[in-house]
Amino acid sequence: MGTATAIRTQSLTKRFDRALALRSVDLEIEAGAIYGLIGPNGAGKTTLLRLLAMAESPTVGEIYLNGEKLDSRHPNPRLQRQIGYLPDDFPLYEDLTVWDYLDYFARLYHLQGKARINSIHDVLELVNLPHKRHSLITQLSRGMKQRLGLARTVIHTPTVLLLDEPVSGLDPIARQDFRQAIRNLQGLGITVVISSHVLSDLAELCTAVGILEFGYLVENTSLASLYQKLGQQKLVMGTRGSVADLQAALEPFKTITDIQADPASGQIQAQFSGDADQAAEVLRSLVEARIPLYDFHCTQDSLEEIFVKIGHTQPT
Amino acid sequence: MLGFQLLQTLGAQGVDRLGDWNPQLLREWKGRLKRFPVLAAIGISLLVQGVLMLSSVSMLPGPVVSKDLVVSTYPQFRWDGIAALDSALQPEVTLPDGQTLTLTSSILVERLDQQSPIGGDLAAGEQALQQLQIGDRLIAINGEPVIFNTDDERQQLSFHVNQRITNQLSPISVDSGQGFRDSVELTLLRPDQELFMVSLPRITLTNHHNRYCLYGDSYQGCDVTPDGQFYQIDWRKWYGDGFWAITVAMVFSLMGIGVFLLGSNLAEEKRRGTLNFIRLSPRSAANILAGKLLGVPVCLYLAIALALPLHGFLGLGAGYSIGHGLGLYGAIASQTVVFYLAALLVSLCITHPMLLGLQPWLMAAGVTLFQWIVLVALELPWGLPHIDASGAWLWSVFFSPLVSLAYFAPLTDAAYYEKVVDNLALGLFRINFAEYTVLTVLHAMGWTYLLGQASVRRFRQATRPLLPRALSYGLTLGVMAVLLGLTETDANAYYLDEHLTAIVCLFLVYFTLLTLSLVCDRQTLQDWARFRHTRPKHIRMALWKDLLWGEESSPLLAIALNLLMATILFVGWFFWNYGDRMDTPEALQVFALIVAMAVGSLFFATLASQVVLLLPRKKNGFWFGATSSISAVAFPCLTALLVIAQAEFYPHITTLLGMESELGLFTLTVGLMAMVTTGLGFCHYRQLAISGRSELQHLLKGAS
Repeated sequence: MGTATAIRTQSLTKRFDRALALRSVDLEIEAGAIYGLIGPNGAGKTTLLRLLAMAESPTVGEIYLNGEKLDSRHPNPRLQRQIGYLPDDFPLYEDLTVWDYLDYFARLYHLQGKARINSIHDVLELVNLPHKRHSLITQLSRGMKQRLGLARTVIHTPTVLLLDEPVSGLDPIARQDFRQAIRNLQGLGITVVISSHVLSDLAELCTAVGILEFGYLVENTSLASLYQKLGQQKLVMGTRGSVADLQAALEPFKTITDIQADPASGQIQAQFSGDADQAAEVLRSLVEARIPLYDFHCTQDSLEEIFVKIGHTQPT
Repeated sequence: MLGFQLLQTLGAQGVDRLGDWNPQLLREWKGRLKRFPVLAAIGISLLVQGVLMLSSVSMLPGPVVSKDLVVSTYPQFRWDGIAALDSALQPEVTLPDGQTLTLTSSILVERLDQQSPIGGDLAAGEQALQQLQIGDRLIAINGEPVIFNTDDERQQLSFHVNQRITNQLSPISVDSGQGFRDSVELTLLRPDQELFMVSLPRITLTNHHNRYCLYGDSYQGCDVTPDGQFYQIDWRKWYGDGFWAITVAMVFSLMGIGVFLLGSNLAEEKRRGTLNFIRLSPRSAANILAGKLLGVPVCLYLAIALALPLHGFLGLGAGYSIGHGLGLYGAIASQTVVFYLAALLVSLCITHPMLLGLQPWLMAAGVTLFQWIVLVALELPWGLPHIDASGAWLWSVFFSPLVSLAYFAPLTDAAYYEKVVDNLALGLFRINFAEYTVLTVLHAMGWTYLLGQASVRRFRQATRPLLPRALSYGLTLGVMAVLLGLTETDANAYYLDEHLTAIVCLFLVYFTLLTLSLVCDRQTLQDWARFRHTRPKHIRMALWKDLLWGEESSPLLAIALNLLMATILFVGWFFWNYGDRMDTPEALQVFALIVAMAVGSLFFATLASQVVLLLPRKKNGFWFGATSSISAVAFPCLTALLVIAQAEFYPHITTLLGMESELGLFTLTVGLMAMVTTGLGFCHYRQLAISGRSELQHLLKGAS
């Protein structure tokens, strides 16, 4: 049996006036995955997340959550409890304390008695805010508020977590904390869908990505496949001997192309389309050919480079 | 958190359970039951109660003081007009100058009053009273014949006679107790007797008047206690007035402040965007809205609860039963829920940022004004318990709990008003308080259901029509049944104009609300036009069914059907009652044209608003409202202008289209309206057709 599908959409379309914000999106996200949504501003990421969260109704198309159809017009409370949604701009009740705020949402999601109290303790631990539980929300920093928002979103232990730009405006340390919290959630088996412009974070977190452009889902694949398909690897080698010898030793390998040599420094850079074993084979053959190497490493295009390389434009 | 801590101390488990049942309620309580708001609510409640009670106490008559006292006789007289004397009875009297005169007329004793004196020889007065009877004729006062020469004296005869009597008595001082032995001698004539003399003792009376005094039969001044130091007080009336004052304050606070608080809270949630989170929770909309309704005005409820003991005490003091009190609370509570739900619904519908700020003020002012109008229309401030409304207007009284007060007139007043408080006139009906309470609560329940449905729908999805179309048809039948039924209770040809005005005005209000409840937003209409055919066959309805029952299609056909049903009912009712007036073809023509003009204008306004809705422009709400209003009055105004212009500039034209000129002009404008409506209908169809095109079709046809 293959991995279960947490979210599936079928011809998902959303119009605003006559403009199509999403065009027939067919999406599948595996259970337990961290799925990154990438796309330029206005590509439809927020719309897709809002549709998945049932905050909007699709114009056409269907959404399935763990195999059950979502209907935003007549929402099923059982399915609503399986979703946690943290929008880009999430307002808080500034007059409440952290504990009261979480208590309110826990009750909204039907958590009762000890289960509710334990859940509040757990999520406070998860987002590293137990020491602030009696503080008024208005006294929290932006990063803490962001983490509190995440705590509120997961208080009812959803199976699917939808995060829209969750780290925007956070400093590096707060982002790191946030990433750690997301990893912890994945450890609990929660499927996470994140939309973010901070692609380095997504590259670090995600197991799969979807690329949206003009409302079309142009890519929907695992991160490894994406790198393989669109990313480029380079082999960087340095020799204390002859660069020409090194160049000659590389010629038999079909996975190595576009060799660029710099005789002054003794360095060679080449495109490499193989995997780790093939890279090891190259190294072994060079050593056997007695090439005096002082450097041999493989580099990979970042997610950001791949994204830019695809040539996305801002919709008008 | 004073109040909330108190609550928690009293029953932590109960609070916890309450929070599990309705987290929104607990959240609102936690946010509001804090030290300052709670103390402010208690303080204001006690202050208002104190001010009302002090004001009531200040209105009591107080002790008897000398400035309230007047000189009079015991008994007191009321005199009738001058009556001619039978020639056999005409006495001869001697004037002070020695002349003798035969009296041909005299003044009749009409009434003898026995107001309790503060001081004086009451025993002598009682003796005089034995000698007197109604119908005696006054001949002379202290031997001086009673003759009136001027018209003024004749017109205010009783006053002038009594003045002459008291003028015979020397001024007295009550404090010194001097002069009480003085008396005045009246010479009277009784038809079967000779002239006889009666000696009336001089006494002092109070002429003080106060709402809370007990009066004897004379009503000339307050009754005093036996010791003469204080006035006798009608405590039931005083308690009753206090009860009224607190009820009115309670109703105005609940309506004005409560509606403001709810509107303001919803506006704040919308501004912050927190409402969206609550929307996405698995709690039902009804649960959350109930939490808002019970939680947001909690400090107001607290203030009112603090007034209940005094209110109950005053009510019991006034002689009202506990059942009456509970009925009143039931009526107030049920009507308050209706207004609160309406406030929630309006708040949920308003999205414009500028209106969000104004909305609480406008709603509170509107509701308070409505309650004030009802208060004035019922003439309750003047203590007259009746409902001054008839026909369809009668419906409006069920929207105000103040109507209940008509049953709470002070019981002493009730006796004066022939016990109308037992059975209040409601059109042709006479309903007692129990019937009134049941009717009011049922009426409020109906509105609660409708407004609750609409609020829940709007809460879940901001673009959803407020009411399902299937419900609208039943609602129209119900509304017309109420309007025509209430008019039927007072169906009188003499009041036909008034009745028709009431029906038309109230139907116009209903139709406007109905249209607003059924229309979809532009996006929904565009999506329906574009993607209707892509829906799976098993859920796709036939077009006519979709137009009549669906929620995302153009609402025009549904609105037309509602109008048609209302028109049929109205025409049927009219012919049933006033059919005999339609005895000529011209009368029928006029009636048909008026109905066509009224109904056509309403449909035309709806159609025009739908056309404007689909135009790609900003401020759609403004244009929607402006177009609807202008379109609704356009053709009736045009007709009026044409008729005036014809009379002014072409008076010689007497016939048009083979009819009287006014009728001809009417027919022309109705025809014009039909043509424009058809054209606009085609335009709307085109709009929907263009909206239904795919991107490819748009590209190919060059339309956008």
